[in-house]
Amino acid sequence: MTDKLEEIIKGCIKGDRQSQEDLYRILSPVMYAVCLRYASDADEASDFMQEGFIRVFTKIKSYRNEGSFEGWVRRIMVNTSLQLLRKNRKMFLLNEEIIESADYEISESQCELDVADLLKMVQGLPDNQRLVFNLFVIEGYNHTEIADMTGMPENTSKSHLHRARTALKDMITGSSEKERHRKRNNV
Amino acid sequence: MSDNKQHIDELFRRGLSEHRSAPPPEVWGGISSHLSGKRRRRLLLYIARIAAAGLLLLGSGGIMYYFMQGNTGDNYLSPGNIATHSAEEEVPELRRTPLSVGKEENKNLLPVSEAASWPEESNVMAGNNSGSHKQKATEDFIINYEHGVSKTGIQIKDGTILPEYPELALQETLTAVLSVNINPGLVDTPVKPIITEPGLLTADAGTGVRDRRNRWSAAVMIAPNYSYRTLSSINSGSFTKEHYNSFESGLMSVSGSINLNYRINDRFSVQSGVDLLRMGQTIHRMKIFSDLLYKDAMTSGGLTNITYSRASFSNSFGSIEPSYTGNPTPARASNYYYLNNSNQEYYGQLDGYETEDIIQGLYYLQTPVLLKYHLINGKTGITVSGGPGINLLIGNRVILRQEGTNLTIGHTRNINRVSVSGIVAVGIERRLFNNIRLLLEPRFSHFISPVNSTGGLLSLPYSFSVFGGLSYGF
Repeated sequence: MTDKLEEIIKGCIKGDRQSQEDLYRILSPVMYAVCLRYASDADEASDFMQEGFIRVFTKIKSYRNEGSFEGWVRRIMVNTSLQLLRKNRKMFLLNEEIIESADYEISESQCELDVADLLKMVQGLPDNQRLVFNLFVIEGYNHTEIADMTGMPENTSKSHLHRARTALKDMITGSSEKERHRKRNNV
Repeated sequence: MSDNKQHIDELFRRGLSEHRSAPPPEVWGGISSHLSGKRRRRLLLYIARIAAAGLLLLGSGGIMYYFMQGNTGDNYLSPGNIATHSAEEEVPELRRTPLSVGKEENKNLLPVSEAASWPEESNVMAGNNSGSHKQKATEDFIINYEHGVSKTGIQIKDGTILPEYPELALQETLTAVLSVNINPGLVDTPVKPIITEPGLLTADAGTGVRDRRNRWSAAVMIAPNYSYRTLSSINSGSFTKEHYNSFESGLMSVSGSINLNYRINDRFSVQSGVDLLRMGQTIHRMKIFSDLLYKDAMTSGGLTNITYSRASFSNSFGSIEPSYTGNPTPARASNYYYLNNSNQEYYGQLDGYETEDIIQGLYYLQTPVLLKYHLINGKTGITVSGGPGINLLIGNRVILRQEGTNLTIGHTRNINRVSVSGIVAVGIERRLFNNIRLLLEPRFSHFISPVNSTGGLLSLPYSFSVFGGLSYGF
């Protein structure tokens, strides 16, 4: 941790408004990107961000200099997003069977997507799928940890991940699962 | 073929993990204003605590003063007639009732020793203190909670939900429903899980802590009470305000209150009930002389006319009507007040002039209707309230206090039977356990309509009370 950041954290612990603003300026681009991935749109991401930073400033006294400070803030952002998602959406399906799937690969020609496209696709996922996909793929949690964090069973987590991957792949290849299903039925 | 392919996870991980994006400017504005508000609330809380401590000291002093005055002749509000609470707070007994989730009842309550031998696969959290209980609910649900520690948990055996939630949430849980906090240490607002149908868990945060607050509550309170009056002239009477203010002063007493509170929503509630309070004043510079002294005075011409023995006794509330035809009779001469007393039984021991007080008390049943605004909700709450109060006169007596003995000598004339007050109050509530709250409510009440209907001065009594008591929610 740099001396400058250490000074800012000390100021935040004392409740110094300038230090709080400095910390916000440093970390907000990263954290807002995190929130954008968990939210369904920019407004919701702003809500997550605001609530998350309020918690950071409220709980900063409990930061024990163990591990990266940015990581600590990031965990708060993720947990805040998760909680607000639960609060707003309310439902988790239990005991869902895992659906095995093998092919989550796409051709390199389809990989030329910019960040805005990728973000839009993630935000287009249903809440539970977006949540699990982010936790598993971007944050690196395993299904047991996700189950602990979210309260959903591991199998449900796996199922959501499968569906998220399938949906994203469909988005990339330009055809949704629903569309294919419809075509199949028409044949 | 696979060389030309990429896993979808890798595509998104590479694209999004290092992503940066500037948030909208209003986000910091929201954070900043919230933090400022929090700071203000903290300051308000600090001030409220100091004020509460001051009021408690004042209240305690008032009670001590009241009892040291030996005001035992007051049949309406004597300390013996008002229920008092012990200053010692009862430590709430830990609740042992099994918790329940949805419709599922906990069926087997196992002692700790047995619970410790539960099979490993049940995933029961270890409980090794004496206050620990383990509940086996059904085949599907295992509930574990520990009393006297700062966390508890619920575990759904098949579903693996493993929340922990802090002490406050535990207390909330024990009141009515089970609340679950998913992320230890980072989540403040508990959510309420409901098993709506097999396999479906609904977590509805909207029915969390707020809904668990009871709509109705009943409270019993007691207060030290200081009352006095303001005077306003309606015409130029014989005596000015300054004249009365020079020998009249406020009066300490004890008030009681029974009230009902209805919670309209998160912020507002309405409170009404019945308060018993004494308004009034103390009149100083009473001169009492014995029969012998009276005779001496008469002989020496100090009192020029025997008619003083039946004269009315004037004050800012109105004239005092003696309650008996014989002696003693209060009389007025010049700026001094004399009691013509030939009753040796009471005053025969007096050898000379003694300064005594007259307590002029008006006893009211007051029905306040207060709109209460909840500034701070939670385990400790702060409220402000205000509204009118209808006062019904139920007692009117004038007491002569002499050497620690109170003697009722009459009543005040021309006092209005019904009057109206304006009331403002600040309340501090602290939940003790379950549905019981400790209340502290400083309250200021001022008559809007005058207490007397005649005379050159209109008297508007006011009182300042510090109510303390308990409320029960239902």
